[in-house]
Amino acid sequence: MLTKNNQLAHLLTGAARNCWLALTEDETRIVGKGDTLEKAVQEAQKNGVEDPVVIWSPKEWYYGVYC
Amino acid sequence: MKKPYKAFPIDDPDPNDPTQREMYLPSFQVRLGHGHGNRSPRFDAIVDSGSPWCIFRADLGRMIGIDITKTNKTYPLGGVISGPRDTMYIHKVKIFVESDWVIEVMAGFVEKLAVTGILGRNGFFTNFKTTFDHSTNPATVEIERFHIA
Repeated sequence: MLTKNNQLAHLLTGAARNCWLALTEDETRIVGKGDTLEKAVQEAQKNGVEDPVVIWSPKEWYYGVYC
Repeated sequence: MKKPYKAFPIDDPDPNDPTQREMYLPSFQVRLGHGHGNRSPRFDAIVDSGSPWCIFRADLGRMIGIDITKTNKTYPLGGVISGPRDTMYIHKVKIFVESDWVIEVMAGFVEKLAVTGILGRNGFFTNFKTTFDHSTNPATVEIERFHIA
C-alpha cells in the first residue's frame, strides 16, 4: 500500500539509475535528472522547482552504502 | 526532533521477507556548506552508527567549491565485505541539519558512494544524542543536540 512514508521508495523504484535525480520539496515528483548534480538541479529549476531535494540513484538499490 | 524511518527501494528483497520491496532507513534532510555562502541542495543523509565518519558523494563537495583531492587527509574506504576500495578525501564542512542546526565536521568525500550521504559517529553522533526506536512501525530516529563542556 502506498503511504506518505513509502512513496519515495515507490517513486525511486521506477526512476532512472546511475544518475542524480532532483525531486520536489515533498519528494513526490522527479523534476530533474542528470549524470551530474548540476544538470539535475538545472533541469529542476527549468521545471519550476528552484530548490529541489537531490538524491543519487544507484545502479542497484541494496542493503549497503558502498559501490 | 523525531522522524520515522524513510523507505528506499530494494532490488533484491530480504530472503526472510521476499514480499518486502522497500528498506526503511533512519535519515535526516541536510545541506552541506563550505566557506562563505556555498551550500549544496538538500538531500536525505542516512544515519549510520556503523560508520566512523560522515561521508558524502564527491559531487556534493565539488558543488560547494571543494577541490576534493587537494587534502593530505585520505583513507582507503571499503564496505562490510572485502572488495575494491575507494579513496576517501577528508575536508572540513558545515552540515545544516533539517534547517535547525549547523555543525562543523571533518567529513569524507568518495566518488563511488552508493548513497548520497551518511551521517556517522565522528561529527554527527558527537553532536547529537541519537535514539533509534524500533518499538513502532515504522521505526523512528530522534536527535537531541548536545555540547560537550
